[in-house]
Amino acid sequence: MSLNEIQPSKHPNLDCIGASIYTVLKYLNFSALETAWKQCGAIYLKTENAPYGDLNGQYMRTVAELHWIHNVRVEGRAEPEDDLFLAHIQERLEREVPTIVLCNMAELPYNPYYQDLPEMHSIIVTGREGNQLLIVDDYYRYKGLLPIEQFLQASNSSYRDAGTGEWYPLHNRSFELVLSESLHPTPDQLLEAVRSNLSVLEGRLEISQIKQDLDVPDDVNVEVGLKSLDPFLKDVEAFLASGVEITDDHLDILNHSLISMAQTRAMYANVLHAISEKYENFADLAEAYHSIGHQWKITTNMILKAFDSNRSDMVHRVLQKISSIKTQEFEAVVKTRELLERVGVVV
Amino acid sequence: MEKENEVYETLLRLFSEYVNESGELTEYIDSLTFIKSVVKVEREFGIEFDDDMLHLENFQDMKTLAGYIQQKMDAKSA
Repeated sequence: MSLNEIQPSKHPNLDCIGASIYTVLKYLNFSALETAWKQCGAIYLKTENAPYGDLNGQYMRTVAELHWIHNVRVEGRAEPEDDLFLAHIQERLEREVPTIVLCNMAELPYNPYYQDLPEMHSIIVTGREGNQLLIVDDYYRYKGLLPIEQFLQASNSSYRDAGTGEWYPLHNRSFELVLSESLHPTPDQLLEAVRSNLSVLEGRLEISQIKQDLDVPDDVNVEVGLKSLDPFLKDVEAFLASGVEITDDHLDILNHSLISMAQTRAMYANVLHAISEKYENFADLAEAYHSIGHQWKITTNMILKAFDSNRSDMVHRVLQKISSIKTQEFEAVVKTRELLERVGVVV
Repeated sequence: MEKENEVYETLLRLFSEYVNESGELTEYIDSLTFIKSVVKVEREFGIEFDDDMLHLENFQDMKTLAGYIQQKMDAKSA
């Protein structure tokens, strides 16, 4: 396949950056595509004055996750000078290498949320025709030409963080994926991901380590493990009880949390499924996490519905549903520990 | 059955951009558009989906969905 033949391959369980990476890895014929996303944790990040914080299924950055076990390297940086930035892209195109670019979603004219949602988004540059770039937007299954002027407007502006509501400059951030030393892990090698995830879900990972890995500011309180679902639920319930009007921004933070939980569980199920090719007892655990991911996805849609139809009563129902998912999460952790011990992994 | 067919025809109209002639979902719907469609369907038929129905997997076949909506409407008028 040549570079300009790349088509969007929206993955149902990846965010926009994940989906772009998935498409590029597929183009590069990476054989371990379904297991590259393997982290499945639970951390709760809350700033002191916020009513509630951000629950997150990820405990490491995507760059670190791809390098971990699979040895996929992500190379790139910000380049605020437009000319230099375009020169980098051109140089990659000449090497037949797709460039993943972060941009402001509200500046992309083909996007359904054009001018509405100034959040960070990800697209792939796969070609150039005169003053236009050929881009692939996996998340919205779009492929087409974008005038360079509009492209730079999107890549060199600022975006609003969905979790915090703060604005950050993008400065033309782009990257490529390097597979020269990548691995297709065996089921035994993938057990390391299960062991690591268990340590996070059981709350045994050092908070200082997570703060360092995720570059968390000092004023953010971090709780690790499934037990962090309790303060999350408690904070959201207290906020609802306070009678403060729920805004789109409040719901956006909740949505961001629930998506992260849904996606990490769904992708982790693929890892467990791959392990079950050697250790068949892991097949049931894979099913359990698939189902848990499905339940989290329903909570995400419930929040969006509350968002769209101004139904604050639905937020209460979301909290009840999360309590029921919590039980399934704890059962899965007990099962994971048992299975790891059975195959001789020290946890 | 006639009523269910009417529901089906309405669903085909509401989801016309995303379904084929057999009423199967063939085009991608992002989450926000999906939920906006759910709310539109609820308003059109005066029903509310059970929370567990709020997953795109349950909207793959408009015939099955029409059956579910008809049941909801029947339960409401009973």
